[in-house]
Amino acid sequence: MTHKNYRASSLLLAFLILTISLTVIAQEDEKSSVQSLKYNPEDFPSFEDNEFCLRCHSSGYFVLSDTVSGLSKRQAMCDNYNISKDNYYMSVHGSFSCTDCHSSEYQNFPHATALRFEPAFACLDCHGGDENFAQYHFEEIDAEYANSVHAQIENGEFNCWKCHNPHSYVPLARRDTLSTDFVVSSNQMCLTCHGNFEKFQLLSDKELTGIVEKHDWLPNEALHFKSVRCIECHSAQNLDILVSHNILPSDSAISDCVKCHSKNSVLMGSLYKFRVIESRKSSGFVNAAIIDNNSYVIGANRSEIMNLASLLIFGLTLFAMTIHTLFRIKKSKKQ
Amino acid sequence: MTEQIYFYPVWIRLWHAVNAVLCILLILTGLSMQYSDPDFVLINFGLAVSMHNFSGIALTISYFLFFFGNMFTANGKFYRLKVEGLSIRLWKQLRYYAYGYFVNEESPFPVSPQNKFNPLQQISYLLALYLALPLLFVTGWALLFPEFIINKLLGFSGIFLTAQLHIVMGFFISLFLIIHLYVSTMGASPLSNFKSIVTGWQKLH
Repeated sequence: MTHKNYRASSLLLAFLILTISLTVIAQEDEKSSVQSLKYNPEDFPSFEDNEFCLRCHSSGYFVLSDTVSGLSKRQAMCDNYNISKDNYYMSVHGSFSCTDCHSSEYQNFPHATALRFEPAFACLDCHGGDENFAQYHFEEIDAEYANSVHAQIENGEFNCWKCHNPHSYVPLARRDTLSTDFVVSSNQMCLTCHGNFEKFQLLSDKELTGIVEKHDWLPNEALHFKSVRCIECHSAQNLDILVSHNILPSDSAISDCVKCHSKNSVLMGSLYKFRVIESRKSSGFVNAAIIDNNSYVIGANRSEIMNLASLLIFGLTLFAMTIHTLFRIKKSKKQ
Repeated sequence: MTEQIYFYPVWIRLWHAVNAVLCILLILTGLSMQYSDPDFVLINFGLAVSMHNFSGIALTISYFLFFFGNMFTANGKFYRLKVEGLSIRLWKQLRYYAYGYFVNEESPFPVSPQNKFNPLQQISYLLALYLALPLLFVTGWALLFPEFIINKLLGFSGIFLTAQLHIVMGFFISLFLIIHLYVSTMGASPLSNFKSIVTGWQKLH
């Protein structure tokens, strides 16, 4: 092979390798973008209809056009109106078409201002009095909410959706595995307003105090934030429903450590309630549901077997010492 | 007149006193947390947590003083275990406590400047100071910084296993303390060993 032919062959080979590599990369990209979907669009009959809305409401921007000048430009979509398609189709409401709950007039753009005043459905509008949803106790939840501080908000702006996003809601508390993610997502509901002054001031004229500073009395504060939900301390327990909705005023919140850190831990009626109801596991430990959840709560996890063994060892030691002492007294009397 | 030897140098007596106070605090606060009950509060839970953490940190520092003290002073030789014939020596000492002591037999391992601990004392101190306490420190510090504890080990929660090991070791140290206090009453007189650890002078009997 001449030097020229060799160079040409090398270039050809390099080109082929590059082409093949790019093709493989492109295919991998395509594959990974398909795999990244957490849902199968074919499972959702309303998917195509919803795309009309979600092309703006899930993209982070919309295109504003002026019919007179013919100009158009991209505008950022406000976060409140952005919906994650993954979250929506994985949520309990994922099978719905947008217009099942929202006016079909939203299909006109720009949307009419009057539509903003359209009353939104509340949970009970669909779920109230329905036997299919009896296990969720919506009526009791509504009664609890009516007693909570949230219901006292003067301008009446508070509703279910302030905490439960209808476009992403999943009943995490009813899942068998209570992970840290569950606690984080539950606390995120509270922090949406209580950790964000902009959101908070939409509902209240009160001063927003720093969450971290206000809880600095908790030993190992970060671990508490990671392991328990705000509502464990900030709501009144109701044994009839899974998650208490009677949010208490801050000065009525639990601040006595022993309420959780004891054999009769209130966590068993709140954070671990579902697990307790479902499994009632007995692995020799009091409140074993906490252990099953890869957690450990000082004072609440006690092993009856270990308690018995330790009492037995202590008892035998004290018994041996008593006998020994008696013999010592006898010996000293002889002398 | 009973012979006395200067047995406990100042640094050991100071370390022992600090150790005793901290261990008692740790046991009381530990028990109070483990068996916390809204109807029977031994020590307020928050206070118990703070006291337990503080005492644990202080005991770790104190332990290192002891550890290096033993490494660089003659006191360390009392903690060097001779394995050869250990079981026979342990049996002799046990027999003495259970029988010989009551029939006025001579102590098989009398206290001397060369022989500070009898075999039973030596092995129990070794287990307490070089096994149980280090395990308590490792698990205790891990519980202070739980983010460093591995999530799962052999299917169990790492934090749960760490806490259980901490509790079990705490139990053994509590047991050691009770036995240690009782055996201390078996000196020349019931209080002589307690006086010794304060004055440094040990009566030989």
